[in-house]
Amino acid sequence: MKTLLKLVAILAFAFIGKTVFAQKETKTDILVSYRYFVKNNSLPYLLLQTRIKADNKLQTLPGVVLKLFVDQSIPENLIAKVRTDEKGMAKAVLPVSLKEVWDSSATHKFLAVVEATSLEEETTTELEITKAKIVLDTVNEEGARKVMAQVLALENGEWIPAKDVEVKIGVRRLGGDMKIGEEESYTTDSLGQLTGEFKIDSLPAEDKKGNIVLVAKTEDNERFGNLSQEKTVPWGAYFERQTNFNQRSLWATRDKAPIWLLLMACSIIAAVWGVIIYLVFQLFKIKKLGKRSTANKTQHLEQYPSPV
Amino acid sequence: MKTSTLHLPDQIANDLLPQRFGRRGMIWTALLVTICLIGAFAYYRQTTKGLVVTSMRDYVSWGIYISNFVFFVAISLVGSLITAVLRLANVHWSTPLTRIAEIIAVSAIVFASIIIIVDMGRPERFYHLFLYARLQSPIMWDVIVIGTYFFISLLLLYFPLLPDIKILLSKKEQSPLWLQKIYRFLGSFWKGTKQQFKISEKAINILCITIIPVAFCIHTVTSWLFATTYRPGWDSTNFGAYFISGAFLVGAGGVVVAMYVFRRYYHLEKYITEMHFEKMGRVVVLLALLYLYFNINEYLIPAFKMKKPEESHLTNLFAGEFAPVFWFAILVGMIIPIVILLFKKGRKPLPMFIVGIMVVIGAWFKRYLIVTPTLLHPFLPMHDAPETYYHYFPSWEEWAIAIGSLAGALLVITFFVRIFPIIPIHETITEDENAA
Repeated sequence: MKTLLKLVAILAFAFIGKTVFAQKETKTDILVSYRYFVKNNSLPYLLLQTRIKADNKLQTLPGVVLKLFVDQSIPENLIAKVRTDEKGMAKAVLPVSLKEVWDSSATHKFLAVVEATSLEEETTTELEITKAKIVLDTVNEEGARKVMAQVLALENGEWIPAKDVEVKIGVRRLGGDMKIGEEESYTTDSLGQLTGEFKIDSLPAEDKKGNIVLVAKTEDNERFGNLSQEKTVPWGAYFERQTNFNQRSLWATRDKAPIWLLLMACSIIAAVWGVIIYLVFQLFKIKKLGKRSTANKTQHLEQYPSPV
Repeated sequence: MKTSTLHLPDQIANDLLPQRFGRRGMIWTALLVTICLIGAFAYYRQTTKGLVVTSMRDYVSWGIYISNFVFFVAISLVGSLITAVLRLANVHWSTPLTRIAEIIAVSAIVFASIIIIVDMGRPERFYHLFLYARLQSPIMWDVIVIGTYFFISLLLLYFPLLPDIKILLSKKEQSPLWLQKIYRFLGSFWKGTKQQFKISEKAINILCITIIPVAFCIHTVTSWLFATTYRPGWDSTNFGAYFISGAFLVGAGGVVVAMYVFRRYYHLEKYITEMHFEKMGRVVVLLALLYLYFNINEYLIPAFKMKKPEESHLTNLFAGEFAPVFWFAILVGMIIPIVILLFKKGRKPLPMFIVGIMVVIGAWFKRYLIVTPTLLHPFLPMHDAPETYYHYFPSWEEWAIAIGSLAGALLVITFFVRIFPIIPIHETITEDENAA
């Protein structure tokens, strides 16, 4: 009997304990990842993604509300309050109201705070960046077209060349950036400079001037984040688009049927339906003849009634 | 051998007058009406619930509805064969068969039009075909040519009927009042004057000439619905001729079946004689050989080359999932009929009737084989398609609607036979007098 009671007690404890721990386990830690962007020295913005670890893999977490601060998590430094979309992504642009805070220092810290809920723990994630910029220029030396870029970091109110920074140089295309030569990326020298040769011939351009857009960018740099600088240059070639969309063809829209088809089809239809209409007309003729024949017969009978 | 000679015109007229349905006729009509009603109920379900009630999915988007459509279009061609081709060739033995052929043509073309609307997901938008017609599309050509063929067939049925209506009106005592009203409405103006006959004869001749190219067009265009699509089994330049030869065969088979049934049920042995079966037997064997020739072309040459993308389609037909139906259609629809009809005894009424049924059934399955297996084997298979997409077996609604449409076509013929003489009375009398 004692053994039985012990067994029941162990099972009860195991069950209650599991329930208690299970409740605690349901509170999950949210992983927040940041990316800092500055495009063409305009307003910086942040892209965030919220994820959780479930079933031994990271899964995106939509609908998470985050508060974003710069330097300190105080209401005055609030950048934005955002909610992640169905892909667990959110975007926040640094507001103009924080210009003073932003200009006060060359390095800043971003804080993303997820407030505690019944299911989630409060999480604060930080990201530190140093202000930097890319200067982009081009040169045409003896027929060789070169792209020159310099990365400058802000230190004590001055722009100082940043060396050993990995920069990619490309051309903006519809599906992404296309590299200008054989190099995947370039590294800045002690002057923060790099040079890449533009080796693409007759690259289709968007306008008649042959303009294409060059871009130099850092990708997820530890210090500077994602900087990018664009420059429009007339190094492309304009191609007149060959399209037969507006021409008459068998595969065009219904209002652009080929003339030969229209003529052929319409003449066949007209000929055959002409015959049908003619034959229907003949039917009416037969009907008329029938009525006339009846009338003549009646008249004949009236003139020469049959003897009774 | 002559059809019949020295019959009194009155006797001929009495023999060929439409007869009331007997007990068997009533049962037959009731059966057809019931099948049609079940089909109508299935269509009601389809319109309310959508095409999801069918087994058609993204792979097989043309199922037995389109097979049935091709079958109807094919069988309708017989009107031009028996009536027009033989008439223009001055062949007189076919006179008793012309109206059978024409009513088969009219009823088949009506149900071809109906079944194509049944296949539409939004039938209430049918008029869009005309409002937003795109002349470049073979589907549009099919719509135009089917409408045209229907009207020509109707006229070809109507013109030779006019002298018979006069005879029917003169036999008031043998037909009820409602029938007399129909006859008066349709042909009381026919007095049989010389001028009327002249116009009518000319009209029939014009119709016979016109219907042949239109009939060729109707089935050629139907074949182009497939051949203009780049798919295994359809990618052929020979499809027009292949379809027309098959259409003539099934049409002739249909006429043979109808000949036997009408001859037996209405005791028309004096008018549809063994000679007619003998002649039709020869026509059917010729057409079966012709169709077999086109089939060999359509299957042997691609099988000899066995291009990779066509391999699964062909092996599926020859030895795979569709092999039983394929060999059934080839053997029952062509080879066995040819063997039977090569013998004189095989061209007697009963064997001919059996052959006719074999040809018609084989032809229906042949249309199924033209449509479905090809759709299951596209050149570019879908990625991650559900398992059910790879197979097709029609749902009960599809079967009910398809069988209902076949019953509907038979019902039209049945009612026609009740109202009008199935063998032209006036022409028979005239030919009998000429023969005498």
